Amino acid sequence: MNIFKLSIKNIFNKPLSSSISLALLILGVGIISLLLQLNTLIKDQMDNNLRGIDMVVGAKGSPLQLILSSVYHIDSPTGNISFQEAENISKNRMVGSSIKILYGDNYKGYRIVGAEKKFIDLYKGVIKEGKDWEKPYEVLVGSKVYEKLKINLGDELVSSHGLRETGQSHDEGKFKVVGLLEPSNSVIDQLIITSPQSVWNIHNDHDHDDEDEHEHEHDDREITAMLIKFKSPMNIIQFPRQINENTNLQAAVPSYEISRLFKLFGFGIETLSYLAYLIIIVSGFSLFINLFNSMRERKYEMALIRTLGASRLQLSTMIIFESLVLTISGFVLGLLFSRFGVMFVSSLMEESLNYNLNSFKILNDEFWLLGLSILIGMVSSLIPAIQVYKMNISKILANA
Amino acid sequence: MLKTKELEFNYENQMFFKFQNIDLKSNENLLIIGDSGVGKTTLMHLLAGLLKSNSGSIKLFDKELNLMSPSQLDSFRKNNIGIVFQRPHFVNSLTVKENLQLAQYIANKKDNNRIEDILKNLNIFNKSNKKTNQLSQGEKQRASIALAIVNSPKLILADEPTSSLDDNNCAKVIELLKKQATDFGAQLIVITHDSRLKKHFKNTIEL
Repeated sequence: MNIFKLSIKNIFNKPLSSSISLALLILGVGIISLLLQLNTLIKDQMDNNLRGIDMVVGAKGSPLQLILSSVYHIDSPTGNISFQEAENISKNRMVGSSIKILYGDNYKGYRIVGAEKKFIDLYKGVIKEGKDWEKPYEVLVGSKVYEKLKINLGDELVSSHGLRETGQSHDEGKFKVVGLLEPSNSVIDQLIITSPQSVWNIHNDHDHDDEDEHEHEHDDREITAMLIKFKSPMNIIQFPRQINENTNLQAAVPSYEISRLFKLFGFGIETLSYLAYLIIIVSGFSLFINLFNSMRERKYEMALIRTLGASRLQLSTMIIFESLVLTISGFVLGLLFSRFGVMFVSSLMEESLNYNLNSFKILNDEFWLLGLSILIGMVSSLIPAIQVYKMNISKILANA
Repeated sequence: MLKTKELEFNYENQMFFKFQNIDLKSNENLLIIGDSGVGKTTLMHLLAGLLKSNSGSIKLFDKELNLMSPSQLDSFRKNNIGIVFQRPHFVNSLTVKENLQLAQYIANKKDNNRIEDILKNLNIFNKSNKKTNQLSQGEKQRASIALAIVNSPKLILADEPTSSLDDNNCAKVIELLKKQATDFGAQLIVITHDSRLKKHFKNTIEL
């Protein structure tokens, strides 16, 4: 038996009032930590997929939609643009490198992207098994896709038209899996990637031969978007405006659109976190009231412990322990709660968005939260602890 | 062993007590008897070091209590004095055995054999693992005696141990207290208004 054990016994002796304070604290800490986790995870994920893309060119429409569809692959594209126009832009002296991508089909909800090979390098994709595509209809499959759909090397995939699973399937769209990609923790994990030619072939009734194409005076090939990296970061101000004003294409800057998006739901996050801080403060109050009441109920046993020879300090320590045990376990359970929350949200997002956010590291801000919990524990036990310290045992015992 | 001289105490609300001198030798028990309002509890708190007198001296085991600091009194109390209260008090979140372990912890001791001995001697060993609020009145009284003697005090102070008991139980409890004191080598001072106890003590002081 010691003072710390005694504190724990006291907490368990009053399970109801202890658990109310605890529940409030778990809720407060849990919500804040959940918001912190989600915010960081989403930002990380967004930034991770953003690297190397300064600008996206696509069809006119919402710039955010263009970014979401062609950088994050979670929205419908704004439309198609002509290959020739994209080609002209890519030859501009301000453009460092460019990657054309095009959509057409999906396989069981996972998008099939026609892209130049640079696309895989952009996300540092590495082939785990098999080889790169050489001929049309040969595909590389991202890690999430083959894990979820149990796709093996050499399988044939019959695609459906459009980006949703319900699209009509076409027989000519038979793809052959020639390579599987290592997990890269970026968007290519949930894509099926093939050459642009494959997509064009499926969507043109008459297949053209490669030689034919060069002789065509009019090139009617289309792409969905083009990802561009500038030669100099300075161009980010001037070049998108030029395109938007002088062509019927749209240029959007991902970093700008994403920060706009974050501002949009940042307001909601802020409001929610204020609410959560309020809950934490209320939990501190309830803790204080608990301790204060139990102090009055337990004054005879406090006096008894003093007559047994315990010092004032030992008794005050006991009270502070009781409070700290509750707040620290509230913190730990709150973090646990938020981790389950993150798991739940990421499972939801993976279903609907083919996105994955799994990470369980403790964030710096969460250490602050630990500090806050300890502070709440100290502050709410301060007055009861002082009262116990100043307690007049003789008076209490005389009135017994 | 206990010597008091010119002991005086006054409360803030002007209540004033002047106590007669006490001189108790080693190996003797003492009954202090008096009506309500003559300062019995005050005297007991003075002897236990829970209160400090305004003037006079208390010499207990050759130590002058009035010269000790509060923390010295705490440590003197835990090493020398066991108190049996009028109404038994316990730490309610703990079992009987844990209450005794807590008392030992406070006195920097740890001896489960002694706890076992005491509980057996008081005939409540089978209640060791019961919470104290599950005990009957008689068991509570015996458990509170256990709590007073667990740290082998040299002096047991009992405050009105029999006031709410019938004659039969009154005799039982006082004999039990005396037996425990003898068994564990302690002296007993009982402070009470209960004149039934007179026949159990050789030394009596009337306040």
